[in-house]
Amino acid sequence: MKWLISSTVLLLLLFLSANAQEDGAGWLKRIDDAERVQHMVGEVDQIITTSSGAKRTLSLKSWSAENGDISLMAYTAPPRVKGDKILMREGGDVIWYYMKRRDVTRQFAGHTRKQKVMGSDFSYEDMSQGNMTEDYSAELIGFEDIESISCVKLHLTPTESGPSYDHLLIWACRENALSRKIEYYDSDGLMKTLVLSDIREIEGRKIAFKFVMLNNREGSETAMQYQTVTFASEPEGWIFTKEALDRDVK
Amino acid sequence: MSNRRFHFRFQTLALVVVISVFAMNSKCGCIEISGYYENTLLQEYTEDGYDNLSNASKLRVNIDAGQGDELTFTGNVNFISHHLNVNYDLKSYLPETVIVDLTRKGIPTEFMVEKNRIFLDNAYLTLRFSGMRLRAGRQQLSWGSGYGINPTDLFHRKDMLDPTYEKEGVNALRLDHNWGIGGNLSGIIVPGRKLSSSGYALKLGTHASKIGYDIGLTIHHIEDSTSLDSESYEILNQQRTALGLDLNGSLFGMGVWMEGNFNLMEVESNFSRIVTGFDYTLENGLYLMFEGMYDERSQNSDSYTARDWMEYIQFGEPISRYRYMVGIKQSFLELAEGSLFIFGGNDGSYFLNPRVDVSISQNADMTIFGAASLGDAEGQFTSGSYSVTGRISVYF
Repeated sequence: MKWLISSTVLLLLLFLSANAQEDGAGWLKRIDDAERVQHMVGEVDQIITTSSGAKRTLSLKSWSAENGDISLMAYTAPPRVKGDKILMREGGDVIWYYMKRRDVTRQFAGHTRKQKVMGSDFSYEDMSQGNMTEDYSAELIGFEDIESISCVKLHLTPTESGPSYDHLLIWACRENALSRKIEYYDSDGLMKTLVLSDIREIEGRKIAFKFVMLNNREGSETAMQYQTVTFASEPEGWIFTKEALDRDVK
Repeated sequence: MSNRRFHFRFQTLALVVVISVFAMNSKCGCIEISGYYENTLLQEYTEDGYDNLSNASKLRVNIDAGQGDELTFTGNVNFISHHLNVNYDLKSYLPETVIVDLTRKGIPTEFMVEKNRIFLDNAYLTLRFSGMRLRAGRQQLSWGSGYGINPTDLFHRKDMLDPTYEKEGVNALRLDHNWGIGGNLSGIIVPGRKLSSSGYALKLGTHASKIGYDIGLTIHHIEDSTSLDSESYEILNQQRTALGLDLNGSLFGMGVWMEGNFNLMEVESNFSRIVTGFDYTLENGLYLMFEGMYDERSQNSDSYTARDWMEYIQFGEPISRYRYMVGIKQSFLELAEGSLFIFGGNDGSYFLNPRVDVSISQNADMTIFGAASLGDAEGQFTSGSYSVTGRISVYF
């Protein structure tokens, strides 16, 4: 009898565990489907605010295609960085950086993905869109409200080829599956918190226009605010090659 | 009129003509002016009592003109003015035996930098047609993935203390054809006084997606003038043909690069020069890097001749056969980054190069870097010399 009860409990636990993982994976797929766009062109202002309140504003134009696997960012202001470009391919696994002032292109190795982009609180791997279902395995934690919006809470563990973080906690709207908050952890604990807001509908798609990354350790934050976004036309293929780095891309 | 003044007036006139042509044809005001002002303060000190303070202002004005990118003009004019001391004496930096040798040959160790200098760093036209890019004029020809030195770049020299600073352009004609993600065939002609003294270079580059490496093969044929005659110390002009290889990618999560060439020399012995390095960023953001150089052309001993030193000072040629650099870099405050580079060689001398880069406002940066040479007094980094450089740059 004891054997039967133990087996039943064990089977039940296995079933619940498997079901939870399936739910987590299902939710992650929903988030990916809601947020990954086939192609996009946008203009973004990036405002870095230090813990002492000093601000630096950078502006850039970005293009992406192939569901976010390839992207190009071109800085348009301030003059110090104007013309510098970052080309990412393979979901951010391959990165080239072009410095206009020296007319030099350099390939960044994989470890560089952990570095800050232009002194901001976003790292290169944060900026690459990637494929979340390939980069993480998900576990459903539960449901919580974020600013009165009912959200699903997932625990994401990077896969072997995924980002360098230890794990992420993500809250996404239950209704439209758009991420509202992401916490990034390393082995020492919470590093950064990303808050997504200003949800707008553009060309039939809902998208967050504002991303604020809070650096929980340094006290700084970086806000990225889209000025324009369009999904209407696919960028030409050549702008995602090294050739585009020293060209004037419109 | 001196040759130099004539060249400058010619270049300035050419720049004015080109800008005017663009301005006249421009219906949308497609001329952009940008640049920066930079003030550099340098304090040097050596243990034998040499003490020098120098200060320079630099104004760099960039001009970009053109509609679309079929035909564009890029140029910049640099105005540099030295406000304090402009006289230098190498005696304090050279080993005693070298000073004796130079004095015996009647070669002065004192020199003076131009108090005021105006020059074109870049001034080139870019024409794009049928998948080709043609660039004509004074331009930077930056090849190679090495950090401190680039064996596959025979047209520029790098400042070891500040290797990422912009390089002065070279008059050249460059044609590029690109394909795929990173395929590139590049041909360069650097005109000399005659065809035989002109420089020619070809590079075939590609991105090997399967292994994630940028790979480049280079070939140069130039008139080399980076060495001195061993007796007269006059510049030795000779034909030089170099075959090079450049690799840049990842290995076991680290960034790795290797750049080298084999040089066939008309007068001197043939030699190879190789640079290889790796870098890595730890989870806490600490950046680590190592780069080592092997140069068969240089001495394999700790006793350098006056000729070695003069080639090093005049042409930036490596002085020792082996040189390495170890570097660490970390953001230590918000908007500030600190780094320390240590250089060493096989002669027992070392060189420390601490550096701080700070963003002091939206359009202004400040850089402070130091230099201290330690170890063997006869080594390539002659011990007992120290310097601190402060630089503020304001961009517009």
